[in-house]
Amino acid sequence: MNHRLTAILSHLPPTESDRIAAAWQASCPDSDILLVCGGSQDSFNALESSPKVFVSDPRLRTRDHQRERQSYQGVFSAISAFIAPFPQYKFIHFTEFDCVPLHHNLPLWLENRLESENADVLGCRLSRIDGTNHPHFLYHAADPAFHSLIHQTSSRSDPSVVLSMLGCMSFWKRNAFDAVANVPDASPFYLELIIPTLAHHLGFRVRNLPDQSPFVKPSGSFKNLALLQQAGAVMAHPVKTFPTHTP
Amino acid sequence: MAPPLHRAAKALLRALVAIAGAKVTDQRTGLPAGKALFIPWRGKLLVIGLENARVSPAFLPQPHLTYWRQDLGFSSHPEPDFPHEPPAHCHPLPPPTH
Repeated sequence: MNHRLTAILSHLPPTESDRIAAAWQASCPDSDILLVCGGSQDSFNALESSPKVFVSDPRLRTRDHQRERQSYQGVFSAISAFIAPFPQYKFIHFTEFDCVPLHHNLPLWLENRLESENADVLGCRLSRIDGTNHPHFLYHAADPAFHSLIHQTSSRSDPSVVLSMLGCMSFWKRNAFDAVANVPDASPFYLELIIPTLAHHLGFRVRNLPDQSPFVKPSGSFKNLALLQQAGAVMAHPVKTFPTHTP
Repeated sequence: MAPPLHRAAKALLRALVAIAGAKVTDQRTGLPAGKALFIPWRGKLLVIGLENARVSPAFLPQPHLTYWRQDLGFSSHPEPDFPHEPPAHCHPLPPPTH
């Protein structure tokens, strides 16, 4: 058993999810793979990959993700419950099904980066957004429950800080992951905002991956992954697709 | 998805911003933040544009005292680089009492 766990969130049909899990396992032999099923119960039952967990949280299953404030609280809780009996897992690598590894051992690369940054959490497109025109911040600023949660949770001297980070990938020290996964009442807030903000206010150090952020865009697609690899990408986010062949 | 009329109106506004929008400079970095239209509306300002900028407005410091005008500028936050902080129950001092 490894000390790194890569958790892949997928709602795709079972054959597709199994293919993606197999691709990750082949690419990252020094990390264990956990398939996190956000699809139907039938899809989950048909998965051949093991281990696997099912997420029943209805707040994961949104259509207009930002306006309905899609939540990964159920996803993180399910992963946290899965790793509870396994103290050997020290690092959690969370990824959505449409993130592609372009490094021969991405979780190891991320662990080294985490250590060099002296961080607890790494993510892409991390920015501070409180007081700004960021639509997700303004949408939550109108909700007293959001401010209340942050004030109740924060160990920071400035409880006004709000961070935003893409939800499609992140890399965590286990204690930070467990702490965020087990915050009660965090569900009604949009995942890209609440996840890094809670980690920060719980006292953890959250850092950006600015060199990788151009390859992990929230929209668009990448045609030639090999070219990205040559440009320094260790991962890419082709958005809603996982290529048949990876470099 | 927004109705076609809304989408057309938004596309028109985007084109108007690109043509007639005011250039906005990030006061922290000195870099362009984008272009925007500022429209007075019910005692507030509508800001149209700046979709790709993450900036907050603030009145700017002024080296000369003037009563008749002030500058309103827009600034981004620096990239988050906060240190670790121990949880509240680990702080050496008890929380303040009021």
